[in-house]
Amino acid sequence: MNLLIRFLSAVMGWRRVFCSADFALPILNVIRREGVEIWGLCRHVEGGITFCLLDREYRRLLAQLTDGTELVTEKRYGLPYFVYRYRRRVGIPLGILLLLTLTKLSTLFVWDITVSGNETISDAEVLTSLEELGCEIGSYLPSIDFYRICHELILNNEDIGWVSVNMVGTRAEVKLIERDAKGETEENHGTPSNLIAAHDGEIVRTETASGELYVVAGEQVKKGQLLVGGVLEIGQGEETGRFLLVRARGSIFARTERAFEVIVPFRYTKNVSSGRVIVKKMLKFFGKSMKLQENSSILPEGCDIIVENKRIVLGEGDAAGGIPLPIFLVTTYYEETKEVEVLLDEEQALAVAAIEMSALVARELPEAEILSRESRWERRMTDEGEVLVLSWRIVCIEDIAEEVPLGVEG
Amino acid sequence: MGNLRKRLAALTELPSDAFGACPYVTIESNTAIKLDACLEILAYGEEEIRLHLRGLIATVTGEDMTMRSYGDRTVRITGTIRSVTLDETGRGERA
Repeated sequence: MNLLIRFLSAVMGWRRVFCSADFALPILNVIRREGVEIWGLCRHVEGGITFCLLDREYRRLLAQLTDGTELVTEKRYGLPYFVYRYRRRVGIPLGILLLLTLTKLSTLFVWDITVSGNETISDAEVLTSLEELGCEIGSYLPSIDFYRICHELILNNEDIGWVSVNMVGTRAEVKLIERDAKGETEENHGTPSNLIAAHDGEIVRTETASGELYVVAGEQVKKGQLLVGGVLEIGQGEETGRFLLVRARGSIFARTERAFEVIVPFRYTKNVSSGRVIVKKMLKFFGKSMKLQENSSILPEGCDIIVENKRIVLGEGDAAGGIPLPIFLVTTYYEETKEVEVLLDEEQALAVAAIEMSALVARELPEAEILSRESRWERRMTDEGEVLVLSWRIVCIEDIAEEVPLGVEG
Repeated sequence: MGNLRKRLAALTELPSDAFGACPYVTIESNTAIKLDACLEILAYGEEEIRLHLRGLIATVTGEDMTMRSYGDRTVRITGTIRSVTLDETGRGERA
């Protein structure tokens, strides 16, 4: 019996029947004559024969048998008998009904959201923006206006240039293009602009890719002075007076003198952990929160809050990576802090100031060639107490070109 | 009808099975036998099974024999086949 027939038999119900040796012959002849479908014919240990047939065929066979012919059902199999056997157990059909209903209902909600195309914007930022617009895991699908969400995402996020949200089954696929990437496209086309000086300095060398150079090496320039112009006059003789707007591109390196100052107080207060941590756990299912464990302690006034959001994944250890469920275990740690007064001596304050100054210079002059550095420090009295002021005067060669679009004052 | 078919076969010099005039009996080693055109089961025992085929009475003897299929008037018997006897029946004769 092949698998399909086996399945159909199981659905329709079948039975194994026995007939004694006395009735075997007439029954077999009826089976042959009427074309009754049977299988599994074999001899019984007590004599006679047994065979299997569908209930439908059994009824047909019974109708053809003469009076007195005995056909005994040994056992019944299949769905109808299974259902009959458990007819008093209401929970089973109710459970099946509930399962089917929940399965159908679950297709009306967002189960998962995937974000692609983002490089500088994090997934969390996109998901938070979506959540604010009413689209999150557990949202009711018919109530979501995806067109409006896409429109408002672009309006609310300056970094997003294009976005689309599509449902693939119960998963929302967010595809976006960042505005920086869009800007690169514009760069290729060339938005008209000028290059102006970001700082005072003496021009050392120039590297111009496009635009008209207005300065030469050795020239002193002031902050805001035009270095490379994006307005080119074209034509000769009588045809002058026509202009071509281009995007000025290039690097203008100048010797500049930059001053930086870092102030470190000798006495200040800072928050440190007291060691007391209160943990609250919450189960977030389809956007609805349920408290699992709550410490009844009163939360301290000053505390650091750390929220850990862990998604439950079915079969997490599997090679396939498991199936992420729309269930999150949210653990919130409240770490009590207390204010501590810190007193620094001169040496310590100087060390702190040096570290802060190094970070500041690295941030402000990332690609500059440092020629010389003059450092000095002093103690100074302020309204908030005595402070240490560390000053660095740096002479360096840096690119002072700053691009400004045409029509905007630099 | 059987005789008419045989006569037609003889007249046209074609094999008689071309007119469905004869039942086929296929023996697979000594473990199974298949008989066509079974009209009735005359006896069904472990050591002897007797069948009424068209124009023939087939007696299969052996050990531990069981009929397996009936589809399309074809009977398949499995077991240890010792002998097969085919006796011709007269017109309308029933054993």
